[in-house]
Amino acid sequence: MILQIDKLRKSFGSNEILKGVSFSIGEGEVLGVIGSSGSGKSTILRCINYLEKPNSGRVRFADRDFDIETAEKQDIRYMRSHTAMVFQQFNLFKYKTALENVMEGLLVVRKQSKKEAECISREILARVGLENRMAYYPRELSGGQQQRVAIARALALDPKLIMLDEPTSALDPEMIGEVLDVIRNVAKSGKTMLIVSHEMNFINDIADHVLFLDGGLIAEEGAPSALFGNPQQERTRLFLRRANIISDYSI
Amino acid sequence: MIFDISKVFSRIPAILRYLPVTMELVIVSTVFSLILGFLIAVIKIRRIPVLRQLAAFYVSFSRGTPAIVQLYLFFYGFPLIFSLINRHYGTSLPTVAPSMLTALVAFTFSEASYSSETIRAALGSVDRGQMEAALSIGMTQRQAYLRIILPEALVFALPPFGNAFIGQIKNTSLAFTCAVVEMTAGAKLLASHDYRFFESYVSLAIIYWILIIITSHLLSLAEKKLKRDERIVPHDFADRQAA
Ligand SMILES: Nc1ncnc2c1ncn2[C@@H]1O[C@H](COP(=O)(O)OP(=O)(O)OP(=O)(O)O)[C@@H](O)[C@H]1O
Ligand SMILES: [Mg+2]
Repeated sequence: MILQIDKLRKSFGSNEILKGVSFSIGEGEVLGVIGSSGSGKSTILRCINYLEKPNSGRVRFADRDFDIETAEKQDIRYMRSHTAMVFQQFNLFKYKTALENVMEGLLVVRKQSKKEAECISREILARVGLENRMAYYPRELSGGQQQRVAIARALALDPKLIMLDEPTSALDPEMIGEVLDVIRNVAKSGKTMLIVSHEMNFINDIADHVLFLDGGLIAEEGAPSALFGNPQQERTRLFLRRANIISDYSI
Repeated sequence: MIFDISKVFSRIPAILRYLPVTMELVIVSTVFSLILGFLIAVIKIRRIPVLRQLAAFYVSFSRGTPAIVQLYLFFYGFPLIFSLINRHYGTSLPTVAPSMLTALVAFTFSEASYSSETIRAALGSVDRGQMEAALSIGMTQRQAYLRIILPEALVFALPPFGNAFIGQIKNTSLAFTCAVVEMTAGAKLLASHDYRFFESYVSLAIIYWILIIITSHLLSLAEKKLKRDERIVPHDFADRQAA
């Protein structure tokens, strides 16, 4: 187990979004999270790296084990520096080139020399197919290219876990494919991933395990073939039917 | 002679001898007003109780009164306060306001209220996602501010800062109210010897004008430099450079 989350709770004011969510990810595994809009998928990811402060729960991550309520600064730093996140809106650093975006974490967080950082960053950008776009600023790149830079930025730090929050939702349809291909390759390379997506076919294809989130809890989980092919719960069936996926399997 | 053009030219170097005083007023008060403005912006953003109300009161007062009136208040206020302190504590603080210091304090206070609003708007203009991205790769809040947020905020803030700086150059001509002899007071002084007031002020106007043209030019160069991503460079050229 690389990550184990126990009874994660999170409220915004009096509005409880996560009501005790528990799950785990094995090393090299791809965990998919699905659920309707507002069900708290992003919140789970953002609680793991403390972009939101969770209310309670227990986290076991690599060799760390701590209670969220008594988490210390070092715990938060550990989570942030050993996970990386890919955002729906890319969030590339606006005044840094593709190369500088990827180098930033290596320079500032890993304290590598400029030469080392540049060498690694070039290699990773080439791996996501952007060898010709190193010196481009985000505004000079297409959405798909920006998201690939963001994935490269996440990969550069060699994190123990990469979290992707709807990485293709903000993309024009013709660019979704190139980004999904990159993510697929990252998964194949053995990276542990936690991915939230509305691309059900993609999740079905790539995930080892899928969580269906509903009402602040995990309503159903299982292997993709089981969850998509033979959902046990009525609300899972309803969600999948709405997502227009069940027809692919039930025939 | 009614208008002596040669006087205009000969006066310019004489007035320029006061340029350092003007520049000291501008630069020192700008630097301190940025520091004070930053503190006020942080107080407002963090909503620190008590300090926030004080800051709001100060900003409202400072923006609601003319700079020249504020200068008079400081110039006549300091001696009053000092002599009160002297009477109560037996100290011997000066009861005549030190003119340069008073002008610097007054300009700093009148400028900081504007800078604080600019800084607040600039910090607010940076997309939240930039901070989140920085934190998510393990940067500390401090690193994120220094390396990502402040540079982006600066791009937003430079034009209003530049305008304020230019405004401040012109404002220093009010420093005579505190008995500081900068360029304007100097020009008046020079004219009082030969009664060539008009020529003196023409020279003065030319100096200010050129000073501000140069400043604007430097500012727009800086702005271009900061907006690195809006360059017009053929892409393959940029790539070859990076390779
Ligand atoms: N900062 C916040 N303050 C208050 N409420 C919030 C905040 N962030 C999220 N919420 C609420 O928490 C709920 C879950 O939000 P979240 O973004 O996790 O949903 P999601 O499952 O990712 O949805 P989507 O598929 O639309 O991205 C929503 O009802 C949202 O309004
Ligand atoms: Mg979301």
